[in-house]
Amino acid sequence: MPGKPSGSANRYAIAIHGGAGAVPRAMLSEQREQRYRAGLEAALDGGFALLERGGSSLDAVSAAVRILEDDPSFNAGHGAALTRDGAVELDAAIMDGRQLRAGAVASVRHVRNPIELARRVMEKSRHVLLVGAGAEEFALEENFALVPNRYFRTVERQEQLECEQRGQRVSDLVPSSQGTVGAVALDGDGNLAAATSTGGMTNKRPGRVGDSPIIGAGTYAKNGVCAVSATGHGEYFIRAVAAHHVCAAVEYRALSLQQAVHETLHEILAALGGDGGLIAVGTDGQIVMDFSTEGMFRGARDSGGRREIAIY
Amino acid sequence: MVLVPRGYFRTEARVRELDEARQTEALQLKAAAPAATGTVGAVALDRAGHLAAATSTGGLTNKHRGRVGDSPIVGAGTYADDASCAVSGTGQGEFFIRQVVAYDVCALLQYRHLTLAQAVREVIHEKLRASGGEGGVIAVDRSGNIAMDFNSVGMFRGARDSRGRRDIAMYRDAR
Repeated sequence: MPGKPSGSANRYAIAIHGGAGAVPRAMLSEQREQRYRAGLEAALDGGFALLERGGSSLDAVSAAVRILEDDPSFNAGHGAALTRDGAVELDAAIMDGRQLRAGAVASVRHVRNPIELARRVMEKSRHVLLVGAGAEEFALEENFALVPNRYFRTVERQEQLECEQRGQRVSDLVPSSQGTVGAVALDGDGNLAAATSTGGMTNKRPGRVGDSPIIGAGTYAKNGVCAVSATGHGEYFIRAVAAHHVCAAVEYRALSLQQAVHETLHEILAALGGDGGLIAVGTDGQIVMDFSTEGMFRGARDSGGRREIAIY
Repeated sequence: MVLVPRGYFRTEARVRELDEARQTEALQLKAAAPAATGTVGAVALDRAGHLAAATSTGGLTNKHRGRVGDSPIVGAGTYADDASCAVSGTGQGEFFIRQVVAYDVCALLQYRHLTLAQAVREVIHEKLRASGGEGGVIAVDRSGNIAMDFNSVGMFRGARDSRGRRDIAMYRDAR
């Protein structure tokens, strides 16, 4: 790394993902690739703009994830994957590295931006995780406008579900089980935050919850250590407590962030048989984005001038 | 699976508790009131050297509908790894989730090479207490050491092993 700028204490950075397991390059049309890239850029720059103006990492990850939730190309919010019975059930989590505060929701069907409800759970309830109808009751208490489940469903996801149920592979779409979105950020005050949102696996059993809303599995942030957001085969990430494992490896064993992410994906998860990807940002603003799948939709931007979007 | 009506889980005492809780708004703030806890769990090491953990709960009395605590969260209220230990937690679930308590005990054992008792002590009496969380864990390691520790007034617990240990305790004095 080149010499640190003198104001390195005020370094800030954000990384985002739009899911691991990108379709094989040859099958991704140029038009669709442009759509993914445009969506990633909007989220990356939206989150970064807040950091630039002195906003918090918490605001930056919320904003980035919200943009990805609203974009039908990604498997979160509008355009999320469908359950076995053709509905959308959404999960999301957010964590503030300052005091290990966290909020999460699972299996919600009527909240336009689940990441905002997760944040409200963190800030306004005495709980961390609310699920299903109870989470939506809380949303009503907090004056969230609920939307019909139809709002989330797209023709493409319907086709994907039908193909999956017929046992066919779908070309030119994010693989069915993936496409989760997430963001991690470090702000100028040194605070870390992480956020993740997903529709889960296509054709999932109603009520299935993956790693995204599980604090420690798909989402974790601890000031002075790192912030992590995961995407991939959620069941394995839960069992490996993947996001927290990265933090524990950095904190307890003094591994570099890169080593910690690498070990979690390519040793621990690989040994269990689970694949996916992780994005992480360290307390020094270093960004790591790694995956064991063919690709991962991702982007990184920091105050040192780095700005990149990548898929493979 | 045979389903049972909701009434099956209700007892007079719990219904009375709920009524009381509803009447006393203040109780909402005391998530760790004795009435609100009482999660159950078990950890074990078998002859083949495999570790396992299990936890079950009805959650907090007067909880918000849909609230999920640490018990069903792998890593928070329940964790087992043959390479380190098996842990089951009870207490203020929100704090256990945020600290990933059960997994953290295993990580301290495996990566910091603390003893089971030290790892449990650090998590319960230092980290959890510092964050304001109350509760306890039971844990067993690969060698069959059992640790049962808590920062609350008491924890209903029992331990038994192949060397003849067998004890039941509720408060701190009864080891």
